[in-house]
Amino acid sequence: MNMNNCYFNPACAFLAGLLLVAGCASKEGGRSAIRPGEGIAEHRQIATEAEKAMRAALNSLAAVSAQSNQCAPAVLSAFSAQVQRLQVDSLKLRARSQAMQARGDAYFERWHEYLARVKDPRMRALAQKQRPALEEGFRKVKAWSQEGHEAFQPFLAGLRKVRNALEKDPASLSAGEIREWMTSARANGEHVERCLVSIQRELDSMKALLTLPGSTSQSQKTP
Amino acid sequence: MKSITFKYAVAAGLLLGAVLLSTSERLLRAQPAYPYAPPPMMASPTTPGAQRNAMNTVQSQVGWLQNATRTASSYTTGAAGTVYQQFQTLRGAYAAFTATLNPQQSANGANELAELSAGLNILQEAFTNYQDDLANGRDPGAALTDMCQVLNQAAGVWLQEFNQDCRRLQVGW
Repeated sequence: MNMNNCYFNPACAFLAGLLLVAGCASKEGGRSAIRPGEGIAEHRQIATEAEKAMRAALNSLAAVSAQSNQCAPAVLSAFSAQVQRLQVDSLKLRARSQAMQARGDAYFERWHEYLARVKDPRMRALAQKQRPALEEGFRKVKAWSQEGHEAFQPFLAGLRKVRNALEKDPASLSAGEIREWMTSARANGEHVERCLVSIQRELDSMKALLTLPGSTSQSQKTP
Repeated sequence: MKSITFKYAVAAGLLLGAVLLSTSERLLRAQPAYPYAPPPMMASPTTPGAQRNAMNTVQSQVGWLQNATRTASSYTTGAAGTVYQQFQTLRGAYAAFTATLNPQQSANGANELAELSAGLNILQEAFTNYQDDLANGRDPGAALTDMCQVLNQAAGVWLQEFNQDCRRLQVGW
């Protein structure tokens, strides 16, 4: 077949049109194959990061609390740095928690919709079968996130109060009021930690629900 | 003969006048009440180019905010106000960015967009904390440095999430 004739051949024109349509369709398909950010593994990861930041802040508070009478400048400086770090390292989890509260059931629906589009038909069937259990898991994660958020605010406020007071007067450590703030902050911080542990445990259970028979949860990429 | 011709001429003239009058009336009626039509509703375009521009603006604005947090301590006055202004500009840029997403992207990314919005609200808490610190007698320099460091790092974390979400939602593709 002469190539020059191809430009005028209706069959060639049809083929070219088909290719164009296929190109558009593949792009559209790409759009529908979005990996949503609400994956269980990712959520687990940011909860772990937040828990580490909480632990570091609580350890730092304990180091301040262990000082007698006057807080050493190095200890206070390390404590101030941890208070800062906590605000940054908890950002992702706090944002996710707020989004879950704000969107409510729509948050879960959006995530579950994604599961229904996974290529593997076995995974789709499993997600459908486990939907009630997953929804229950989501409700628990959401509730613990809310509880954690409610304890986090006074925890952070308490840390800031202690820091500000010690910055003004490092010798004020022995004052009864500051000791009370530290005790209260520790209690709130430990409450947040317990919520984070519960969130992680629930996410692990949800991940296990989506593990196909014959594959370990580590080897399988959970949506 | 002359009178007949004259009569025809008058009739033709009257007819022409009537036609001109009616035409001019129509022309006058055709004039709009206002010299300019009201502007159409300004919906943001959702083209890939518009999305890329809006995305780049948000990314640049995070850079400007971070720059302001780094240089704030060198200002003699109004440092916190300057940082706050940059932050509000970022909020505006982000709002403009979300307006360029198509319905499918908005639906697919509803959770991510809610998280990004919540992230901005959390960033804004740094300003409230700063005001509280000042009200409680904290050294203004220390309060400002603290706020700027938190904002600088947190804005970096927020930008990472923003970039990741833009990739997921295929913004500008």
